[in-house]
Amino acid sequence: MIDGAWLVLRAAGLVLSMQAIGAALFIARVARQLDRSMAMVRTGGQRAALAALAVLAAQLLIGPVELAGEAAALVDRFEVRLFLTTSAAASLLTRFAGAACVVAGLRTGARAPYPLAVAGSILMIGSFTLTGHTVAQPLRLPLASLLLVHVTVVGFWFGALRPLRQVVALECTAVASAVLTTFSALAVWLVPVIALAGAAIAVLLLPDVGGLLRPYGLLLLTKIALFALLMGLAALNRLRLSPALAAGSGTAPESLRRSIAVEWGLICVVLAVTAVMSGDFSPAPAQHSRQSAASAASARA
Amino acid sequence: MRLLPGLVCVLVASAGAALAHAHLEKTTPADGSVITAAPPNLVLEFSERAQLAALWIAADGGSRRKLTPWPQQAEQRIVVALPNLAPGSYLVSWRVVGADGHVVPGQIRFTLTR
Repeated sequence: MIDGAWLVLRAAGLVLSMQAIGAALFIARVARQLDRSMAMVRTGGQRAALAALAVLAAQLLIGPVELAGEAAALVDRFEVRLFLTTSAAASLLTRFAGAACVVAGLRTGARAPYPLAVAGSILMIGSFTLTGHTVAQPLRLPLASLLLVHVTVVGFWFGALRPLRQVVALECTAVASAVLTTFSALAVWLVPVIALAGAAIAVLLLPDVGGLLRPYGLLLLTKIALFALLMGLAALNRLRLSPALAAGSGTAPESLRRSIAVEWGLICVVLAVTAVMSGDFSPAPAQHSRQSAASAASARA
Repeated sequence: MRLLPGLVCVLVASAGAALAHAHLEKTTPADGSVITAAPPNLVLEFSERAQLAALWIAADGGSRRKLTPWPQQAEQRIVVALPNLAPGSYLVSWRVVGADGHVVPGQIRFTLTR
């Protein structure tokens, strides 16, 4: 029950954090191109960061309970103090501070390129290197660098999708096409980096090829399959729907918005898989993972 | 904006040497063991240093109770004194947290005969 609730919070926190990170970066990049959608796009980014703040606060509150495995830990000074010394708490607190900067940086009256919001999103990105599997490795520095690149690009891609939908819905064809062109020009170079950085992290974390057949590896393969599907959707958007929008096709805006929504939903699934993979399973052999430890224990019980 | 690359560098540089993923290697009493003398201590040995966050013992059919005190810092070999145990089957369960921030639960069973 406690572990299940924690997992849901982790997944929600990851999705909302990525949304806030990407929205801030996207807005900073295209703010000067936006017209009618600017206020709504900025408000959307701010709301994502506010929602991330709420979930991160819940994680910080429930952290001691997850640590001790019982609700009484909520008011247990030792458990609260212990939780605050963990790398998980350091990461959550850093991400919380970053999300607060994004909220403040996207406030009404703030000006492009929104340096405080960008700094906040960088802080949020950096928070992912403070805990997790990459921390507990001898090759921590290269792993942290790869993770920074991976999270930055995934965040930008994912966080840009909702604002892009708003842009397609609210802006005139010329502005919407210009923003889509800007995004596509970046995405063409950045999105392959996701695969390269992710593959490099997997190579460094997995002890052997056989690791791909253990739960952590199988979830990784699931992510790769979903990523391939996303590539197909992204290609459809870039090669068919965006040119149709630029050509003034009447159905293109709706088709594009629908396709972007599906892309966003698929990335949510990828992030949820990531939350399970990084939280409950270890790249090390199966008997070392939390899930297998728990299931082996319950099998014996 | 010029500060941003510096911020990234600080975050990367803050990543120093760390402990590896902690997993259980050995316990005393061993899991599933049948022992004839009450063990004075419970010993949990991990691959790397781990911080104990919770530790309970329960006799078969009984409610669990906390085992205290335990080490206040992360250790690779955690030793906790056991109370005087009557003959019977016991379930010991725990939760530890490693350097990666992940909580790892575990449990063992042993039977004391006399």
